[in-house]
Amino acid sequence: MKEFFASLYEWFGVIPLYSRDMGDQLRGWDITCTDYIATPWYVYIGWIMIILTGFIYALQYHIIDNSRLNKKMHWWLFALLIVALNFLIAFTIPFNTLQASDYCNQLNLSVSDCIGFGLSNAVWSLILFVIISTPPLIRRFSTNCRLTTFWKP
Amino acid sequence: MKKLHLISLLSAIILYSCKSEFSQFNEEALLFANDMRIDQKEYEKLVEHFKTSDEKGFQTFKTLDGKIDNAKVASYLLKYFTAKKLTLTPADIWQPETTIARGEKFNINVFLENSASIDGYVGDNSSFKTTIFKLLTDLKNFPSADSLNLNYINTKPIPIKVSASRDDIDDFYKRLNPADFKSAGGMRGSTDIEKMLKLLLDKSNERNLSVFISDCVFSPGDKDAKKYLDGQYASIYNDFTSAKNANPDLSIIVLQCTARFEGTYFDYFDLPHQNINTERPYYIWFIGNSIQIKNLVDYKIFNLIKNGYRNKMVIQAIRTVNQPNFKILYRPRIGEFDSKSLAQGIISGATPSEENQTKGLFGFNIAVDFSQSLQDVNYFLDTTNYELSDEKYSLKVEAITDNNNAALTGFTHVLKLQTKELNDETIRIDIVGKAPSWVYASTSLNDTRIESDDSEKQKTFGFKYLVDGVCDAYYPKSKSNTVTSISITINK
Amino acid sequence: MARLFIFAIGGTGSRVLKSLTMLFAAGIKPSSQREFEIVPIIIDPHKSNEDLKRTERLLGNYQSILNEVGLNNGFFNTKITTLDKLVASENRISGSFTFNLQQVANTRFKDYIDFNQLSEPNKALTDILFSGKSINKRGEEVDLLDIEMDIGFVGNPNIGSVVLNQFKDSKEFQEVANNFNADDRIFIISSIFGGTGAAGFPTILKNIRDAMNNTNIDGRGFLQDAKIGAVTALPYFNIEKDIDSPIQKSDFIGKTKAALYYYKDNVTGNNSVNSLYYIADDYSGKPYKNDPGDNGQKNDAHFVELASALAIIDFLETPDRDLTCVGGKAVNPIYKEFGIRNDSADIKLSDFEDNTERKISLRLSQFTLFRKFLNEHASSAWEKQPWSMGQPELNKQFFDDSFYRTNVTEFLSSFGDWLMEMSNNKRGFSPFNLDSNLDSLVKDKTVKPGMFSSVDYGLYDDRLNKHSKGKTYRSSSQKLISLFFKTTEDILISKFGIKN
Repeated sequence: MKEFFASLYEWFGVIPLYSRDMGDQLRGWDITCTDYIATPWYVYIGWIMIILTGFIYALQYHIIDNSRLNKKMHWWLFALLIVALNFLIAFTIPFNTLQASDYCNQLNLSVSDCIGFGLSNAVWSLILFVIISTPPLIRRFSTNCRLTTFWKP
Repeated sequence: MKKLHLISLLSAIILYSCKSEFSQFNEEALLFANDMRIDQKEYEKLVEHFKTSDEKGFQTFKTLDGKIDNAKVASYLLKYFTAKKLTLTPADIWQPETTIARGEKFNINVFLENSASIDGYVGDNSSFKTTIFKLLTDLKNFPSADSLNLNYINTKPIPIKVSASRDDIDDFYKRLNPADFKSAGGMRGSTDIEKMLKLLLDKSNERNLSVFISDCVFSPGDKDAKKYLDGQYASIYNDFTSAKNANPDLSIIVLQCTARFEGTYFDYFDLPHQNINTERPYYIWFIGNSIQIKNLVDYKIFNLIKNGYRNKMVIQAIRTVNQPNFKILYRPRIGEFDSKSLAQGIISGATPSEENQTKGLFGFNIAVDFSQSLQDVNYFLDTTNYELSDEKYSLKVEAITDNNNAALTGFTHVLKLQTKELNDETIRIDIVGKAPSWVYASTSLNDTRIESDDSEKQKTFGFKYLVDGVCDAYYPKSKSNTVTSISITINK
Repeated sequence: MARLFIFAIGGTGSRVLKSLTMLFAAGIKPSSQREFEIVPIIIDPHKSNEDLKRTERLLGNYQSILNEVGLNNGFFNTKITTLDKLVASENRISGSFTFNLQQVANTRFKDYIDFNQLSEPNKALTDILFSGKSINKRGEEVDLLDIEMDIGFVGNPNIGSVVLNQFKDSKEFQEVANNFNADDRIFIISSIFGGTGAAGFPTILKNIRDAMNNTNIDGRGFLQDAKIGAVTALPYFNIEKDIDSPIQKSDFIGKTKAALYYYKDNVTGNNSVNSLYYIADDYSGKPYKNDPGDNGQKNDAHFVELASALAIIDFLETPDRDLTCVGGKAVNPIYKEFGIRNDSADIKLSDFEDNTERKISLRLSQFTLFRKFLNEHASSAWEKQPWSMGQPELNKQFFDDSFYRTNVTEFLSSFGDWLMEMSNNKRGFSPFNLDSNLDSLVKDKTVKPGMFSSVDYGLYDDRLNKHSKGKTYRSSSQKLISLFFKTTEDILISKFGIKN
């Protein structure tokens, strides 16, 4: 599962948004530079991204489910929330590690790596939101938002 | 609202239980380290975490057959604590008693050469005497020692004291002077090192360890020096080969120390050189079986030598090839590679460098822990003691001096490998057994100009012949003599 | 399906029929086992009567809507048909609701009865019977015999009764009679103090009960013993004083008395009617414009007309056994009046007695809520909310189409006018705040607010979305009616506390 999330966040190696060192850190390269035995952040942040995105989707479509919040503009508002939160989470976690120097000293990590990872997580969360809300499969259970997508109404 | 509560409860549960056992282990270790000690109870509690766990992270703490390797556990803990800025030392972490058979107690027989060439070492200002005195005291206190027997030796052993007591050691110390040497008797005029060594070899067995203190200077006298030295070499070689065959477990440690030499020096023609006043080398030999030697090492007897030693040589029969703990370092590196299997000693996805300064080169570093070896630290710094399976790789070695680097804690040396031709292969880095280079640096082939030649003052005439004789018996040049080996697999 | 033939006579007939149509449109139905199809027949020579025109147009829209969406959608849940649709005959009856009175246009009464052809003694008799003066449509004073009848009988039932007798020979009457079944019923709406109504009611009643003697009709048996109900409206409105008009308020009471005397012998006294409903109001309120007819006689809707329409519903709920006839006579005639709980000048829903309230409060409120949404909010919701975008779509195209733009909009507009007129009238009926916020729509019902939401169009859309979820509809028009019926019912019951 770690490699699944890793290949997603690293865009299958095609579009690197951050250094390979950061990738190793997120896989859980431990502080003694020995092996991938430390916290596998990819997995945790990956799951948080999925759950958070799913929750905010559920918030708009099923929990709040309001006839005034079902236009495409509102979809984009919720999308903004999802993207912002996921960016923050994915940025802050490695950033804190960076600030506390709580990582293997042979890794070269920088703030731009944190930003890059934040961006990657944010983009994937947006994609996930689109995937969940576009096919009518789940949204048809909503009352007021059952026809709400990112392109209409 | 109900939906909200349920969801947040679920996610909290999931996140909490997702914490790996390894991170729980880490957290508990940190907790225990708050009082700057890990005592027995805490240690055993930590070990509980992974005794039955299958988690990958814990594999590094176990031996190949799944038993717990306490040394690795302690080593990791030290590294981790250093990384978390806690200054614990190895002594602060409780370790279970080593189960190495202590073996029975054994006698220590000390043989001090009392020929005329030693007179210069036992002057009033000599540190030689105090060093010997301390050594004997430490040997007396050595727990595995049964009785300490003190002897002089020249052409034959001259027993001075059997089962020496403290007072006897005192007495022996007082008698470290030319007059008492003379009165002890024996043929003081000449030194037949081969004969002395042979005597010692005969005396060494599982109940007896021999300690030999000498200046190890050959005295051909009027004989042809080269022929003499060759002859000595051959005899020594025979002696040690036989001894080894009779007792395959026989091991030898030679320490080179220095002390002030004041007096007359006899060169290889046996001609006297008066009023020599300089620091000169002398040697302490330990001849015994591997368990006795190991006990000495564990007791750190060499660290207790007053004024320390300059060089050390360890000669042991090769039973199994030692495989020390090592780690391929993440950085520095020339070129790129994945770290997926670094912990298993595999470099994957290797590509040569694209940078201008290092274009086409590929290089990586390995941190190795040679502390378990009896060999001297400096032995491993000498690249001539290494053999690489692929000649296209160049090797440099450095000792690790930075104690605050968590990545290097628990290792003693860094090996730096580099090549211009990167291929898929498995490299073997062998450390071979041979006479260390300091032996050759300390060998003199003409000591006649000792007054004027300062370098001569630091050398011992013909020393390499002596050492070669011993080494060749243990490390025949026809064999590979690999003592320690590390294998690294490289894949592109 | 059994039929109810309604003979709506004169101005009052048209207006009561209009109220009835509104009630049916709102989904109010008699709670009886049997379904009735309504066949209205308006009898009024006064062709330019605005009330008549309005009612005709209303009935036309009702029919169009019902044809488009079908029954069982909540609103428009009763079938209303024209006579010609009912019968398969070669006689070309016009497809309208109006009975065509012959020879009244521009004809003087004198000429109608061929006065000049009468013998001298008959002429003299006629002079006496029809003495008196009246004012013609040009405002000139004329003898009664010289009245031109195309504005009705201007308050002279003696003329009216003569002319309306032609009814029994008419094609329409023949058709009704020939196709009348045992289950069918008849209802007659009239006012007692007017011209057309006062005359027409007993005339038509006689023609029906006398069917046995009418040689023009086959199958007279059922008609003779038909279950007949009627509502007769006694004075309930005031008119302006105008000396130049033939209609005077002061004549109302006199004429009422005279008519009642006549009825005593010919309506109630001889058990002609199975169930007779009286309605009156002694409120002398805001006077109507004194218009005898030519400018349109457009009277504002009055609550009494609504109550009269309730009589028809009550009649349909009356079981067969209570309406039996033998030999053209009602066995147990029933006589009823109408009352409300509070004598208020402006009636609200809470002023009704329980039965009335239960019958009409919810449905009328629903229809009002329906209208309000379409007027105020539909354009901001269409193509934006799932109830609109889901299949079949209620999109801009639908709302531009003639079904909505003409039929529905006109009907609802008439409904709005009807409510407005009743609320402005005296005694008034104003249960609704038509222009207020949604949550104060129904007077004397306070809205229960939700935890996070108030009763507003957001809620309305939410309920529309909820009720349209997962439903299939035959067409967009059917969806419009059915969905809004369900939704308005839900909102009024759950939020306004109106009981079903």
